[in-house]
Amino acid sequence: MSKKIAVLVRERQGDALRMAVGITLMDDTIDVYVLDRKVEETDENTLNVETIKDLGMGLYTNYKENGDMECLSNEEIALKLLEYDHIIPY
Amino acid sequence: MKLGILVNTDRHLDDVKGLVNAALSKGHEVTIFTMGEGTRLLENPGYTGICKLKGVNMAFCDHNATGFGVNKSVITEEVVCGSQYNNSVMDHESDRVIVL
Amino acid sequence: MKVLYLIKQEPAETVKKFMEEHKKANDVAIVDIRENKDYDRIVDLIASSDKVISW
Repeated sequence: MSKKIAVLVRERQGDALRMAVGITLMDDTIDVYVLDRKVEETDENTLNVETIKDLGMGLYTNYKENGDMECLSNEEIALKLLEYDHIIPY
Repeated sequence: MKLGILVNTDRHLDDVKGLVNAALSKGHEVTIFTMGEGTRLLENPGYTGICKLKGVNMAFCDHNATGFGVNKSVITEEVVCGSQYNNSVMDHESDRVIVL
Repeated sequence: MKVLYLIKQEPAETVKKFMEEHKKANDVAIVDIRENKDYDRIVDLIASSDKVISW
């Protein structure tokens, strides 16, 4: 059965975003939450964020400066997290 | 329960061992995927030795291990040199996933 | 719903907000693994919780 997984991107954004893309390989539903800071503009992060969008994965943030991500309050994110089978902070 | 453990730091070796042993003693299965800074643990036989316990599967992210300069020649062959695919399988098949 | 927080470092403000929100309508357990080394009990909590959040 397909799983629903939330990846919470914290300090180590590069590995977290790469992992979020990588764990789509079993066709589970993966959503990404970028928390508390702007995504650092590296080539790798840019590519992974674009891939996340291309794959139609959910991409959310609680940090307004992450321009084109859907911005949610911490309260809204907390409630959404309970919808997932696994919650993976990185 | 099938317990997945994502090891992405090298700061919780004792906790990994303690939780694995406790889980096995209760009849649970454990899968461990090591990536990021956690790959530094792969040079420690006290860590990789966990894979020899019945009911444990271990794999690691080769990309990260290479990036962190890990000496992969010392890693016992039972630990699968893999990729995020192994992580995705762990997430897919585990009932619970924790991060250490 | 039973929610387990497995704490490994000083909780950031964000996770404190998550905990507050979850406590409103859920049974929330918080284990600080820096101090609590009762691994048998922690495994039981992991197995019996609906959601586990490592932080």
